[in-house]
Order: sequence, then C-alpha cells, then structure tokens
Amino acid sequence: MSAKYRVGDEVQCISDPSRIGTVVEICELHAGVQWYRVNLGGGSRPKISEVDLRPFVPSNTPRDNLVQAKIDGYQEFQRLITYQRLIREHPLRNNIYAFNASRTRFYPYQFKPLLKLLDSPKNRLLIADEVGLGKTIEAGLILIELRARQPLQRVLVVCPANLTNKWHLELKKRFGEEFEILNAREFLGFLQEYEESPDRSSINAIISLESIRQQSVLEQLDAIAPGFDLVIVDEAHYMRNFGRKQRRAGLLLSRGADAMLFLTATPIHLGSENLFSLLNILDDEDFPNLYTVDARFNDNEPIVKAQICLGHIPPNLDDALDLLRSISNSPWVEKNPLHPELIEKLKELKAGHASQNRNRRLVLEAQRDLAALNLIGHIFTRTRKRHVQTNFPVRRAFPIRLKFTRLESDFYNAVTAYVRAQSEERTDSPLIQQWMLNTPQRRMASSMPAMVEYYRTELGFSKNDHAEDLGLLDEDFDDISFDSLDLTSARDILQSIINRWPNNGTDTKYKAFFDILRELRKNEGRLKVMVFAFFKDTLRYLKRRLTEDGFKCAIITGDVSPNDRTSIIAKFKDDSSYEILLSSKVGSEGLDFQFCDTLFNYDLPWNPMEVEQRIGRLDRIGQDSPVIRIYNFWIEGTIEQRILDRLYTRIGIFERSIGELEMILGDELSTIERDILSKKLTREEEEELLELKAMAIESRLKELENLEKEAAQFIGTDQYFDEEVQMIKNRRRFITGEQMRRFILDFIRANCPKTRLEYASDINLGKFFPDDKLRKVLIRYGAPGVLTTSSRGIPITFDAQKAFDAPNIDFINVLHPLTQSIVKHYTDGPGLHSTAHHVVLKTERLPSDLYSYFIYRMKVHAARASNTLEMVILNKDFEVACSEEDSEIILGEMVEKGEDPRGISYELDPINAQKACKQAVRIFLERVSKIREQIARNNDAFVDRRLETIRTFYGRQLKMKRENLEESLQKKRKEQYIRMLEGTIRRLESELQEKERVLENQRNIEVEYDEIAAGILEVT
Amino acid sequence: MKLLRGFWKLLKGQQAEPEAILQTELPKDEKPADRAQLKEERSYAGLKQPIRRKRGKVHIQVGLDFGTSTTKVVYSQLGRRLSRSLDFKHGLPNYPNYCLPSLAGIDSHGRLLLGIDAVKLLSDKEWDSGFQRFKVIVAGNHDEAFRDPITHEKFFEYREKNHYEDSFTPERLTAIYLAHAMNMSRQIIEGFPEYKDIELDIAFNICMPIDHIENNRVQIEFERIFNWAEYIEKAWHRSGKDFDPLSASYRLENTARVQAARVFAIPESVAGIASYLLSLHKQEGLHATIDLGAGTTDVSIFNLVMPYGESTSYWYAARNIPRGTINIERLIASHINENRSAPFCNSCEVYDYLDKTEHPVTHDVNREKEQRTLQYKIFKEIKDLKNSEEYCQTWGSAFRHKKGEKEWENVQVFLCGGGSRLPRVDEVFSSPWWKNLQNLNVRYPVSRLPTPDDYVAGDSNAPFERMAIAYGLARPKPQFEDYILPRNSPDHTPPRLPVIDIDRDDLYPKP
Repeated sequence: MSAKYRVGDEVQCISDPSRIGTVVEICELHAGVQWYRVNLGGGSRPKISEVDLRPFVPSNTPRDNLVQAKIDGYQEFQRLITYQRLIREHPLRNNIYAFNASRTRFYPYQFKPLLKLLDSPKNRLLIADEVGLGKTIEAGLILIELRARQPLQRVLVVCPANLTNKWHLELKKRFGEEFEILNAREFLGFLQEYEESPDRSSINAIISLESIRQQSVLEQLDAIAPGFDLVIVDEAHYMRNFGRKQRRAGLLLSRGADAMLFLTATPIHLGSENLFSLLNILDDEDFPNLYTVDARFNDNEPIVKAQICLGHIPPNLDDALDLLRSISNSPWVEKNPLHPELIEKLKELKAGHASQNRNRRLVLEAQRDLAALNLIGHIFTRTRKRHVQTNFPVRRAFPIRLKFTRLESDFYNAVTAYVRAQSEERTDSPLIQQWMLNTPQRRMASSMPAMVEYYRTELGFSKNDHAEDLGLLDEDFDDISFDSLDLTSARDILQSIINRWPNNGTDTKYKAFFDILRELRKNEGRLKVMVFAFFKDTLRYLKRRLTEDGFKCAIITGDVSPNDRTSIIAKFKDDSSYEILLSSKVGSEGLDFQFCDTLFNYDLPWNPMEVEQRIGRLDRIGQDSPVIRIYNFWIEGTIEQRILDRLYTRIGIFERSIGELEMILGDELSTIERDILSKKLTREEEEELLELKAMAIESRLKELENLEKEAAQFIGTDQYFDEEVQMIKNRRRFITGEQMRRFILDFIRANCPKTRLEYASDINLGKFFPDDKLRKVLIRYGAPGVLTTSSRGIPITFDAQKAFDAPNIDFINVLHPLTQSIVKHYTDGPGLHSTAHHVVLKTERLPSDLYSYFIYRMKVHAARASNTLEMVILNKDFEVACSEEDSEIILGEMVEKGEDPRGISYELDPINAQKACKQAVRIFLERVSKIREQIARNNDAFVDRRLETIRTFYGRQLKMKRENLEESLQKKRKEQYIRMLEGTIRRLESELQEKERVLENQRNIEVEYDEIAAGILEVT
Repeated sequence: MKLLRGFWKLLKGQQAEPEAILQTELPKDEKPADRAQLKEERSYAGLKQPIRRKRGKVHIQVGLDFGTSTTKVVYSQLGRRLSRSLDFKHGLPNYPNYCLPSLAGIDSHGRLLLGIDAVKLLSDKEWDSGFQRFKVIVAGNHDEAFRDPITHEKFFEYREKNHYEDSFTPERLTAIYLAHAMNMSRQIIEGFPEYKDIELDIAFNICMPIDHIENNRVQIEFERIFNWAEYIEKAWHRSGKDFDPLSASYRLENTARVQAARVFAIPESVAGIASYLLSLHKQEGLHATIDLGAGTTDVSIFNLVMPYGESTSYWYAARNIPRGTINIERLIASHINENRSAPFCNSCEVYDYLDKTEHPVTHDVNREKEQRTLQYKIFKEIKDLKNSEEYCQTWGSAFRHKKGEKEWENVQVFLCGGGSRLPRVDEVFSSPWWKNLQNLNVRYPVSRLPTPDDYVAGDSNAPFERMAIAYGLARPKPQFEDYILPRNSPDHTPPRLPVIDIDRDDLYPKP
C-alpha cells in the first residue's frame, strides 16, 4: 500500500476541519492504515491516519464543498451557525440574544417588553408591570439585546436617588454592565463633552431624578439636545405632573433618545391625565393630547376584541371581521396597510379553501398583524402577577404584642411629647418636621437602648442623623440646607430626656425577639430569618446582643459596598450556620431573598409602601415557600400600635401585595405620620383621621381593581407575545449555554492550545486559565482587562442559571468580551472553512430519509432593515420538503440537537449536487421575491410616516431654538450662549437633512443574500 | 483434552471438525470488501440515489479494558470524532450493561461458560466462586510479585472440582475469554445499522499494566496470549455461532503471527490519561493516576512535559498492586453473611451493596452501629491501601526521577475505576505519601478524569470514570502522544547550583 500524501502536502483533518497542516513525515502502517505526522502549527505535530485526512483547499463556498464532497460533521455545523448568529454587524431579526445572557431566572413574561420594543416602530415603551415581577430585569434584558445587536454608545438610566445604587448593582450583577452613578455636576461635564464632539462621546450612566431636574442641567439639556441610544426612566410616574421639572427632563431626554423605556408600577387609569402625560413624553406625535388618547383607546377596543375572537378555538372569524370593518374609518387605522391585508386574510380563512397548514399559518399571521395594529400595545405593556405566577406564597402575619415596663413607658411618653412639641413649633419648616419624626420618634420606636446609645455618643444633630433615606424627592426641599436650621434648643431638651435612661435599662422588645428566635430554632431545627430595622444603630445593637446570645448573624446596610453585600448574602444563603440577616432598607434594596421565608419587622415604617418593599424582598417571583411569615412588634399604648396596627390590618398589607398604592395615593400616605404626630389629637380625632385614611386607601384599591378589569378590554391581553416567547424557546431562536461552550472550546483548541479550561458540564462550572495567545486576541479586539489570569484559574460558567446562583463567577455569554473577540477574530481572519455538513436529526417534522439543505443569510435594506437565516430543504427529487415555517423550526432543532453521523459518510454526486444547488437558489429567490413584495406594500407608508414624524419633531425643535435665539439676541444675552444656540440649530438642521436622506434611500428596497451552509440532513 | 472436546461435540451436535474450521480461515476468492463494494455500486446504479454513501471500508478501533472483574469496551471509527461505549444488554442484576463480567464457570455438564453465561450460572453460588481474576493469576504465574495466593488457590480448586485437565491453564482461559470479549464486541458493532453492508476493519487494543509490560516474562506471556486470542477470535468470526473456543484454543495455541496484527497491547495508565491529554485541562507537572479496580489497584505517576505544545509523559513509576476493592468485597460479603445468618451471599448482593456505600447503607442491614462500623472498615481498607508498602514504594520510585521535596508539593491526582466512587476516597488520596509533606499540610488536588465531548455513553449511560481506560484504548496506537515508560524515564532532578569553594581568606582578606 503506497502513501496517499507526500511530505509537504497541505492537509485538513476530516474529523476536525479546524486542524489544518502540512505533512512532515510518513509514518508507519498500523493495522492496515497509513499514518502521517502533520505539523498543525504552534508546536503541535500529531500523527493522523490517512482515513482522517483530505487535501486542504482554502475557503471554499458551501456549493464547492458540497460538489467536492468535503462534507463535515455536526459540530462544525453548530459552530458555523453559532458564529453566524453572533456576528454583530448583521444581527438576526429572528434571534433573541438576551435569552441565556443574563444572570436571571428564566421567566417568559420578562421577554414580552423586549419583543414589543423590537417590533415597535418608534422604540418607545412604557412598562407598567405589577411590583415584584422584575421591571428592572425587563429593562436590563432590553439593554443587553440592543447592545448585542448594535454598539450602544450612550445609555442613561434615570431613577430616584435612593434607587441609583440598586440600578448600579443590578446592572452589574445581572447583566455584567458597568454603569457609573453621576451627580448633576458630572452629568454637566458629559454634556459639555458631547457638545464638543458628539460622535466620540460615550456614556453608561445612572443619574438621579433629583439631579437631572436641576435648573442648570435642564438648561444644558435643552441647549445641547444630546442624543442617547437608550434612556431608561425608573419610577417614571414622577414625571407625570405637568409643569414640574422632572417632566421637562423627561421631554428633553425623549427628544434625543433613539429608544426610551419608562418603568412604573402605574395602575392602568384609562383616560387619566397621568397615563396620557407619560405616553405624551414617550411619543407626543401619537399621543398629543388627552382627547386624542381617549379616542385612541376607544378605537383600539374593536382591535382588542378581534384579537380575543381569533384566540377562540375555532377562531370566531365573523365577529373578528365585523369588528375590523367597524374601525375602517379610524384615522389611525385607515392609513395602515395592515388593515386591508388583515381583512383579506380573515376572508380567506372564512372561505375555508386553504389547507389546514395554511389555515394555521393564516391565523398566526392575523394574530401577529392584529398585535401590530393595536393602537396602544406597541407602546404599553403590563403584566400582572396572577397571569404569570400560579403558586402565590401566602403572607401570614404574626403579631407580637408586648407591654412596656414602667421605665420604658415613661421614656416613650417623654420622647413623644418632645417630638410633638417640636413639630408644632416648627410648622414653618417641613424639613425639620420631617427630621423630628424621622429621628427621635422613629429611633425610639425602633429600639430604646440603641437610641440612647446613639445620642449619648454622637450628641447627634447632623446630617448623619437621618434614617438612611428621607425620601426627599419633593422639590419643596430643594432650597433648604439642613445646616442652616437652628437645632440647639431641641438638642438640649432631647439630651435631658436621654439622660433619664439608666445604663442597665430593660429591653422588653429584644427579650421577646430573643425568645421567639430561640423557639423557632428549637421547633424547626434551623433558623434563617431576615430582620429589618430603620437605623444602622438598631441593627448594630441587635447584632451585638444576638451574637452574645449565640446567634450567628450578618448585617447589611448602605455602608456595605455592593460587592460585599453580594458575598454576605451568598454566605447567608449557603452557610447554614448563618441564621439571621439584619438589614436596613437601603442595605437590601434591589436584592432578592426568595430563599428566605421569615421576616421580622423590628420596627415599622409609617409608610405602607416601605412595609411593602420590605416584604417584597421575599415575596417575589421565585419564592418557593408557600408561606411568608411576617413578625411585627406591637407595644401596647404606643401611637405606633394604635395607628399602624389598625391601619395596616385594615388594608391587609401583611396578607397581600398593595404595590400600586404609592402611585394612586401619593401624598396621602406620606402625610399620615405628620398628621398624627405633629398635632395634639384626642383619641377620637385620631380615630377619625385613621378612618379617613383607611377609607381612602380601600376605595382606591377597589377602583384600581375595576380599572384593571376594564383595561384588558382597551389595551389587550398580549397573548400573542406570550406565545411568541414560547415559540422563541421552542424554536431555539437563541444561543444556548452548550452552544456557547462548544464555540469557545473549538476556538481555544484550534488557536490557543496552551489555554486551559477545566469545565464540568454536569454542574456547569469551570476554571479558565487563558494563555498568552488568547490574551493577545483579547487585547487586539479591545478587551484587555477581561479574564485576567489568576494562578488558581478564573471561575466561569456558560449557563445562565448557574450564573444567577453564583454571581461571582464569570458568565461567558453572547455579550462577553471573549465571545465578541472570537467572533471578530473569525471575521477578520480566514473565517470558518467548514461550510458543508452532514447532520443527523431526530424530528417529527420530516419523514425518515436523506435530504439536502441550503442555508442563506438574507439581508433586507429597507425602512425596517432585517437580517435572517433562511433554510431550504430539498428531498431526493429536489423538491421542497417542508414549509418555510417548518424549515425554521428544523434549523433550530439541527443546531440544538443534531448529531454527528456514524458509519460511512454520505455525499452528493457532483452532477446532482450542482442540480440541487441551482434548485435551492431558485426556491430561495422565489421566497425572496414574495418577501420583497410584502415589504414593498408597507415600506412607502412606513417611510412616509417616519418622515412626517422626523420633520414634525425637528421642525418643533428648530422653531423653539430659533425663537430662543431671536429672544437672546434681542435681550443681548451672553455671546457664548448665543453661539451655542446657533451651533445647535446648525446641528439640528444637518441631522434632519441626513435623516431625510437616509429615509428616502430606504424607499428602494434592496435584498441581498449570502450562501452560508449546505449539506445533507439525515432524518432518523 | 479429548474429554473436553467430547463435551463440546455432545453439546453442539453436528459441529464442524477443527479441520473444517481451519478451512474457513483460508482466504477466499471474493473478499468481503469486494462484495460490499459491488453491492453498493449496484444499488447506486439501480436507484440513482442523489445522496449516496462514500465508498471504502471503515476502520474501527476497539478498546478493551480487560479488568480483573469486568471488561469494558469503547470503540471509535477512524475519521470520525466519536467514541461510544458498548452495551452488552445482558440485563444482569448487578452488572451494568456496559460491563462484561470477566468471569468463567463450568456447568453441571462440564461446559465452559464465559462472561454473561457464567454469571447466570454462578448467580446462586458464593460470591467468589467460578474462575475469577485470571488476569492476576497469569501475572502471578510468571512473577511472584503479582501473586495473590487466595485467588490462585481458588482457581485451581474450582478447576479440580469440575474435573478439568491441568492443561486448562489460566493463560488458556484468558486467551479464550479475550477472544470471547472481542467476538462479542465485533458482533455488536457489525449489528449497528450504520455499518450494515459495509466492510469493517476492526483492530483491538487491550490494556496491560505498565509493570507487566516492563516485566519481560509477564509481557512476553501476555503478548503470546493476545496473539493466541486473536487467532481464536478470527476463527470464531469466520465460523459463526457453532464454535468451540476451547478446542480451537488447543489447536491454535502456538500459531505464529503470519499477517498484520489487529490486536495490540497498550499500557493501561497511558490509555487512562488519554481524555486528559486531549482536553483543555492538561497542564505540565507531576500527576498520579490511581485506578481502583476490583482486583487490583494501578498506581502510576508521571510528569507531563509540554515544551513546544507537544506533550510527552514521562512515567516515573507504575505499580499494579494486587489489592483492589476485592478486600472490601470480602468485608461486605462477611458482613452480609453475619447479619442474616445465611451460609453465604452471592456476588450480586456484594456489588449491590458496594454501589450503595457512598450513600447510607440500606440493604438488609438495619443496625446503624454496624453500618457505621462497616463504613469505617471500608475507609480503613482504603487507607491501608494508601499506606501500604507497595503504594509508598511506587511514589518512592517516582521520587528517584525527580528528587527534591519542593517538586512533590503539587501533584494532580486522578482517580478512576469502580472504587473511585467509594466514600471518603478523595480525602485519603489527597494526602501525600511522604511524612515530610504531610507535616507541611500539603494536600494534593484529587479529581476525576475529564469527560471528553466525543464520548457517547451509550444506552446504559456508562459513566466516564469507569470507561476512561477503554476510551483511551479506543484510539489507534500511533495516536498516543509520546510516552516514556519508567525504565527509560530519565532523572529529571534539576542540577544543583554550582558551588564554588571560596577560601576563607578570599572572603575575609587579611589586611
């Protein structure tokens, strides 16, 4: 037997086509097979058998490879498709990158806003989910999806000051996003930078509502009109009031934002000024005034009803058609080309001539079209707990009723009297009133010994003497400086009261607390509880006492850095010796404690929303326990007991979530404490006030419930999007962790052989030791700081669930710099040589047989550009083997669960291969022309609408700026300001021209395609 | 001899004479390869299939991990990235389907039964009855160092009890058993639909402990047995079902090798680390693999050197210690017997019990205290193995290739084999063998060999730690990266820094 290859021949390994090299030695004949030593580069010179080698021909097209029978296996197919999905320059329309790319648990409803935004013509969305469903996560998913699709240069998150840390932490922890928290001055610095060089300025920032509403910031925002790729506004209802600075900030940001998200737990209040106000900020063209909004809601009703009709089994086509015809004259529907198309589809369905498959597809298409036609759905999304969570945990309250000792009672009365007197004296200053209530009274109600300890050591009357947050979002406090207040007399009185407390005073509350903890530990054999208190001093006092009494506890407050908080929580979660976690509100903000089901309110806030937020840390989606136990301390005879116990019991805060109250009650809640403590009320007056508050809350809750019922009628149920999420999952329109692992591993094996990766797929955990070559690749593609070597290895995972459970390990996903660098490396280099494959698949969508398949990337350049992978499957007679829809599903299945062929390889004989390729192209081009026709029908109308919007928007901006300029010139304002205005006008004009030009170009529809892969599909 | 032949004749009825069998081995005019090719060409011409199979024969490499209690088999196809464990589908209660029992027995008619049939025969007999651990006996026959007296005695006791002749040696039985294992593997592979109508060229790799390979007498004997087994299997393959391996073994005992061999001996430990060397886990440095088999424990220590990307493993020391989980099996057997006052327990019960040792033992032993005692005894047995003279000597021999305490502070330990699942086994083997290192609180990282992506566990989901050696053996011999066995391994002790004697006067010059 003579050797087939000679020394110096370029060869490629058949079992692993990424191994390409030169024969350097003809080795022995072993068991009837000739062996060669092949130099693969990088010092690797393995022996390879002749049956595993083929001559190497660089970068063939799929067609050439198929004709030459250079057909590889499943792993190469998977790598190629994963790579194609990862190319950022051409993100795939039908692929969701945010799936499996965040450290979150998978809940399908959380992808609904993302899908809506991707479908939305104007990239604007108001997310009004119920509390506890994870609006932050939904916004984060949108952020990473957009980032995976295109580079985002400027992203801004706006939220109340007390939530900035939470956002910072959540974005980092769950999405690996580094955002900096900016104050007003720093934000002004960015604006300056933007003004100087808009193209080069970039920012990932979080700014508080309190900072962005400052006059200086608003002026600069107005004058510079910066552009943002994405703006997220949390607690957007703070922007609802007309004439307030927050609202103006919202309008100014919306003006320059490509995409904008509003997050709020706003209840659906149809026709209300509040909802209109928010929608108006997001899109003032579609929602210009309250009257239009009402009319829009009314016209939307038949569309929603038609959606419901189509959801019936079988679909109620007659009613759906009637409903659609009834809105033919609606100004928002008549121009939309989808409306006549929909009617045609329903008519075809009604005629019943189509095949069963066609019928199914038509119904799906009609549902999709209706979702697109929905006049509100494109900008509004709302998910309710009861729609997504089947097993609600039940809240169960355990009141601990106590009686003060004589000493404690006297002390309590003295402090309360002092607070009341001081509050009455200082009615002129709301800040001092708030301080009075927030500090001495609250401290005492929290823990007397801790309070005494604090005031004895600190003599504290300073800014530090606050609870961790005062919630001072009100603009009334803007101009008051705390230091300017005269507190000397107040301090002297308080000091004299404090001195009355003996050093060894009894602590009834702690004693009862200790007894219950001991009892719980004894009865359940383990203890895992969260304890909330307002003040750090109370928490420290408790930690000291509990430790002395043999309980192991951890403490988290605002002083603990976000990273440390994460590791403390991980310890508390995983280490059974940690029994108690002491937390302040800020300490636990944005963190999830679903693993714990027992909560102690060591003190109780006067604002029910804060109570809700505490419980909400545990009562979240993902809580596995059926019951959440809530322990509250009620001390007989105290104001807290008299008022809060009754009020909270009445509104049932410990039994159910009352999340939306803040929005609908607003000030009513925040003033209870002030109303009661700052006035000398008789018991009867107290009762009366309490009754009033309780009634107000109850009636609002009822109203809310009614509104929710009505809402579905006007807005729709979003059922289509729920199905869409399910479809994405079923059709594997995302990159799984396993695909990611293989993609990375293949690259390392072929390019960085000295990199070590120890990965256990069963537990989805590994250690990574990058070598110099890999580090060079990372540096070359702009990720020098990632995966820095550690002698013990970098812990990594490819699995989202593992990443969620273990937040400190590196999560390698589609957005990870390593992945991005590898994609760039392939794109810049010779690419992937393997383009023809043989994949074995078990599927029910095709009968067992051999098929040929062809995959193309189709790029549509039009008003709404799209990029998709399309597959054509041919049977042995070169006829189409299945529908387009089935082809898409099969492609997903091939990537996810294909297998390598066994036994002898298959091939297409060259003549048949040529024939199959030609036939596939012909079929694909037919498909392309159909798509082109479809796009053409909508494209002109879409371009016209976009042009109109842009011209209106820029026209208004320019008009405003020109008026400003004129006024400034008349008033002879600073030259610098005038120059800035002139510059802004020039920029706006050129931006408008450029956008008009781009849009006009989009009238010409261009479709181009690339051959990506071809091969043999063996269905078993 | 005649007596044995008579039995086979009686059993098989119209069985072919040995001469006829020999004839089947002669080359025929039409080779199977030609037949398959012709058939394939006909099918293309007739059906004009646009998608067709490529022509040519398929080369299969089978890895046979011939263990003292069970044999595990993995095969791979050259040119495909796939190694699949074979499933024997025997449904025996205490042997997983991926294990072929390394066992033989003689039934009441004097028939020699192998593997699965032997287990069925012995299922109601005492746990260590029948011919067992013949691999150990063969090694012990040729070198006293490998001898396990109890096993040895049991073999001859059983042979005598069943009136088999003295010529029925452990070597013969080993050759017959290997031929049986190879033939079964061949039949299973040929039965796969993907190989239907395709000519297969199957080669076998069988493992041998390194110290057997290095011991000339043992190595020569095993190579003779493998050659013998290859001829028996070839004859078996050609003649089909009615084949008497015992009589063929007599006929083919000293057949000289006349054509290219298809059966090869591979060092067990070298095969064992194949998955590690192929993985991205591999790193330079000292390693130890401890294969805790049922009958023996293989301890091998090697230094992996990768100067320019290509790796070479220098095997510093390897020892096949004739004590595996067998003593643990004995312990369990006596424990079960004591607790249920039965005369004996069978092997099924022992294996069942052994599998549950990592979890609280729940068999028919109820008393908690006794369970704890048993678990302690198992722990002690592992510890005794670790503290045994042979274990420490192995490390000592390795140390001679790289002297210096510091060098031995970091050794990656891999555990494989059935015993790697025993409780607290990691804890025991993470402790260094050397007191000095123990005193420094050095702990070796202990892990399992990485499961490669191309490993397919088969229908019975064979765990990789049990199949690691068979997986390595399923790679053709030329593919094994360079390895140097202990005898040829150089001394890697770094040279001492040159010490120059300086005169005291040079250091402190006189004024």
